Amino acid sequence: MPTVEVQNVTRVYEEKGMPPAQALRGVSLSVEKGEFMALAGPSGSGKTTLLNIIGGIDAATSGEVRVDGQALSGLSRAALADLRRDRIGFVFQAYNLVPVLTAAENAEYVLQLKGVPAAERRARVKDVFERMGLGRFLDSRPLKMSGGQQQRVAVARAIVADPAVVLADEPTANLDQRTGAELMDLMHGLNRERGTTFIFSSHDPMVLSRAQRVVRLVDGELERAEVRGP
Amino acid sequence: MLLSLAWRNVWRNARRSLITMSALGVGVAGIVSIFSFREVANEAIVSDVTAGLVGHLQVHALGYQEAPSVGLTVQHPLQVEATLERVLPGAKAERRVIGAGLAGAGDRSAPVMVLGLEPGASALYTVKDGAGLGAGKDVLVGKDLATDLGVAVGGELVLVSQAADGSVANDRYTVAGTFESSSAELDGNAIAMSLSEAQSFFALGDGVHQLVVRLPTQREDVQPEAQALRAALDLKTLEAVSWSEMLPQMKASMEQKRKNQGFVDFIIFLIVGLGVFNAMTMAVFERTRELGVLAALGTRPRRILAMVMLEALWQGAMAFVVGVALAAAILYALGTSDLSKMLGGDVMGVRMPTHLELKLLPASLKGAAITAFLTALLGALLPALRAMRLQPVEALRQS
Repeated sequence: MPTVEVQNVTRVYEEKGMPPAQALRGVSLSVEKGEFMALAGPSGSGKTTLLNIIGGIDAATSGEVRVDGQALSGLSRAALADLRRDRIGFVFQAYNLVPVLTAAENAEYVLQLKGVPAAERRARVKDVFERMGLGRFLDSRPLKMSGGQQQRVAVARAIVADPAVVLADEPTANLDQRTGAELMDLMHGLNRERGTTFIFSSHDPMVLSRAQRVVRLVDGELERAEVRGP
Repeated sequence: MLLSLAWRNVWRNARRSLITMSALGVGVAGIVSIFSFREVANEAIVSDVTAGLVGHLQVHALGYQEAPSVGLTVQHPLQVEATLERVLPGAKAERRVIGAGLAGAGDRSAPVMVLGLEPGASALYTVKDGAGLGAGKDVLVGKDLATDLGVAVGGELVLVSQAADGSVANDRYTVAGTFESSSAELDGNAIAMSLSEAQSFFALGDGVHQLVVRLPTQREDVQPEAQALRAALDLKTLEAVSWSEMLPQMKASMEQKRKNQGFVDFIIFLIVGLGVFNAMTMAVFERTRELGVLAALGTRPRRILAMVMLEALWQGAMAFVVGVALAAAILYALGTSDLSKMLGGDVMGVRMPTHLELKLLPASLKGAAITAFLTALLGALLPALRAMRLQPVEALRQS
């Protein structure tokens, strides 16, 4: 069973007084467990929209999306929240850590939502942080950390609850080339080590070169897929 | 973590939170202070009334309260006292005769109230000059009346009135002393003599006009005791009335002040509530993107609502503590001040206190707490609902 299955998904944005804007046009895609897959394409091609729909924070106008076997259409807001909590990890372009929480607390947040006991939460976060070279930042506030460090914490937050898939929207866009490369190596390492499925979007050739498979979107349509091997 | 997150969010914009909490705290302080001040003042007034002229309850001859007359007396008052002590254990009764007359001294005269009191048993007055009340032809004169009549200790005055049997009552008395009381009316108009002398002067036999009952309680409402007493009395010849029935305007004035406080509370917290609403609206607006992130991570909408409400509750709780402390300070300052300019004077014959033993009344905290927390919650409700309804994808687009 694929971890993510997208079937003939369209997304049309309608605003009063504006002509409808079609962001996705009948996109179908299947992502297997453990894949490290990239969505490529120029700005406005629909990469973010597709990631948002897979992540259940936006809804398709038509078509169906399944994550870990669960169809998203028809789910209530609370059920979608539960699905995101249990099966999806997010990494955002702008890090989006909660500034009043420490780095460790940011990562613990999802575990706390899942009802994991405090001691276990702390142990799991500490383990992940140490594996990711973040051990000394456990009690640091995000705003005291560099962009690269914050994005690594964001990756830690995304994987610590062992989601079925991590969705990363342009995760290196705010980082310099070297830090971006380090982050991609880190994500790839986690993919291989933990078997976590990653889908990330980018138009950076360096980032795309790390992917096992690159799916290109142009004007909301799937253009072609390139398989580059493990 | 929800509590901790809400707490930390309070301090993200410390200045705004402090202003919001100050407004709430001042509101709490106002409510607690006004409530405590009013209730302590009421307590002092009731205490003066019940300890002085009126007592908690009075037993009269039937119809006396409606139309007092020298001939309407309680016969066999000692038997009534025995009934009273049986029905209301711990209650103390004081027999009184009250009549009207004309007092003359030298070339001056004045209409007076004649009080027949049990020597040593009445708490109605304190002797200002001279001796206390004795038997026989010695009388005490209200201090202001003594000035008006130009009499001093050792002086003489003549009293003229009509006795219960219709005859003319008149006699000559020696001024044994002057007195002052909690009532300006008594100080300026009353002459006190022994009960037996007054009974003789007005030809009442052993009859009295009032059996003034003082109860071992500080309660304002003595209706239960009044009902119990009525059940035990012969209501064909007697009546029992409470202080609030004898001074209905005073009781109504107290109740009106309480009702007014409800209105003042409402206005205070309407204003403060709008402040909380404004502050929480800004807090949610500024954190729209972050709330979108929390939603994307799997936070249920109701949890987001709870987080914003908790933030307001934290502020309500801190404002409550600060407000109560401020109220305690205000009450301490007022309690150690001379309030004669603020209070003082007479209301319905009762002299208002010029000093109050002010204290923070626990009863004031309940209303202030409910109102403070409700205001915080209601003020935050709309912003919290807005936060709950945020679509993650829309929220994440906010810069």
